[in-house]
Amino acid sequence: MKKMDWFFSLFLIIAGLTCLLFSATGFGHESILAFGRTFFKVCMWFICPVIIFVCLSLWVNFRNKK
Amino acid sequence: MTINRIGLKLGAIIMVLMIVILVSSGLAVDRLFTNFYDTQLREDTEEIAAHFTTMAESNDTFSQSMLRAFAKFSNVKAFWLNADGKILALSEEGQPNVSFIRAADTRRLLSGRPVEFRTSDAQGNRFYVVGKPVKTGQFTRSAIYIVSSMKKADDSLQRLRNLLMLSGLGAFLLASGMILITSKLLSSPLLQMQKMTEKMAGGNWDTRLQIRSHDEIGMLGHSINDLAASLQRYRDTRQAFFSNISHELRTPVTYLQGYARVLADGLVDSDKERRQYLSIIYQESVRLGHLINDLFDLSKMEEGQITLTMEWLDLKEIIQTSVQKVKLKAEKKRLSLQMDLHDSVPLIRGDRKRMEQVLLNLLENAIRYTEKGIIRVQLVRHKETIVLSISDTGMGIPKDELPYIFDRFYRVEKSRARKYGGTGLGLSIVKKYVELQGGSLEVDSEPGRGSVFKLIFSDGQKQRKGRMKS
Repeated sequence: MKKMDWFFSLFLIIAGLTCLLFSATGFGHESILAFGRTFFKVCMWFICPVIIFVCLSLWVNFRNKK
Repeated sequence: MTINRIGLKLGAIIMVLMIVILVSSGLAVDRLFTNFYDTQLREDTEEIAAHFTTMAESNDTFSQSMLRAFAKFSNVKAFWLNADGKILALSEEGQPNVSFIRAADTRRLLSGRPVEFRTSDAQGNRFYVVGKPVKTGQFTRSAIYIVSSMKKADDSLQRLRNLLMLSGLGAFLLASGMILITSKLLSSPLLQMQKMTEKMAGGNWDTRLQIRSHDEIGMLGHSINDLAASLQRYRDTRQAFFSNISHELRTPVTYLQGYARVLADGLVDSDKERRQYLSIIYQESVRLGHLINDLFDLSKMEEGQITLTMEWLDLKEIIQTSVQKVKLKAEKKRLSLQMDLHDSVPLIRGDRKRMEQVLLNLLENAIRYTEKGIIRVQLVRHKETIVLSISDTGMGIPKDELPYIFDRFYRVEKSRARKYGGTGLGLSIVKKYVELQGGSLEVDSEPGRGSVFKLIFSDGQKQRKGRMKS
């Protein structure tokens, strides 16, 4: 995959997450700060499995090469 | 950004599925909330109407001021009708809109049955109306209409719908980003394969795929790599074959031309010399004949046009016949030809003529490359296989040359051809004939000590019995 593909995909994912979070917090008239906090939490939940998966695959690759 | 067709198709399919799921779940959620709000409003309005009715039934002093106070408190409009259907009291001052009150509903109310319905005004505001009869004993004294505005619920629903649409858009964008990555990752190996096969179609068979996965796509990649390797090997061997065949044919033809020219021009000094040249011409023409016959056999085998007459063969009998045929050649070189044939060896399925040709080829090779010592033919039964081995005490073959000796025109030493004769196709033909008859050929050799060629056949009779039992 090219850098442009990654950029475009990540842009779509972040835009999608923003829309989802805005709709989730929009009903209760929450502040921008609360929205930011929720966004950060969701991003962390989203990124953590990705980081774990990448680390695991790197470890498996390293073991296979060894 | 590059978009490939397979990635686009894959992405489009997942996206369509995603949209179908989103739309259907969105509709379900919308209906769920609409029904929830409607039910809530109906229950609330009915409860308020019941309170009003109870108050009106139990309290003779129930008046317009009380009605207004309770209506304001409950955030509803209330209409109190007398037994004639005329309005006794209103919850608000001024001239209220009473167009929703229909004579049929009022008659129904005054006959003692409750009514409930939805209505809307000219501005499109929706209302939920509940009508209850006010009874004294068995008789209906009056009736009360409670009109609850649905504006708040409708506003909430509209806002909820907007947020649902936004979350749907969010889910769509999120899915698009993920689908883009997934479709790219999934289609990337297929595109690599497509590019590689395109190169292969263009004649570039040196190219290979870098395979990382071990799934079906990885296996497909391995198969394509194997195919490329096979095609490359085929091209190389074909080139070598044409190069060899032209060389092998040119050599005897050159000899024939040269010696025939010498004889034709009378450039011989003696009769002995002339006989010697004629003998060379004869030997070369015989070699040429053998070469053409061998080539013909090989090409027929490779095209699958050779037909074998399969029958039950007694290998002992075939060995004895073949040994008898080469006995004279062995005696000329003072070689000892020995046989060790076990009696317990069963019959095998094969073509008599081809099997004899195989044995003759191997025996002649053994005699050709052995200067002194013995040539031994052994036939034994080993477990469920029959092993026919031909060993000699000849010059042997170096280990690194062994994998190639069954290749067409391969010679351990290029100078051997002239010295020992042979076409360079014998072992290739032997291997193909053995394989066609369901056997396999193994060779073991040590330079200076000799070689052992082993023909291994499975016990056909035992296999047949096994099949019949099962």
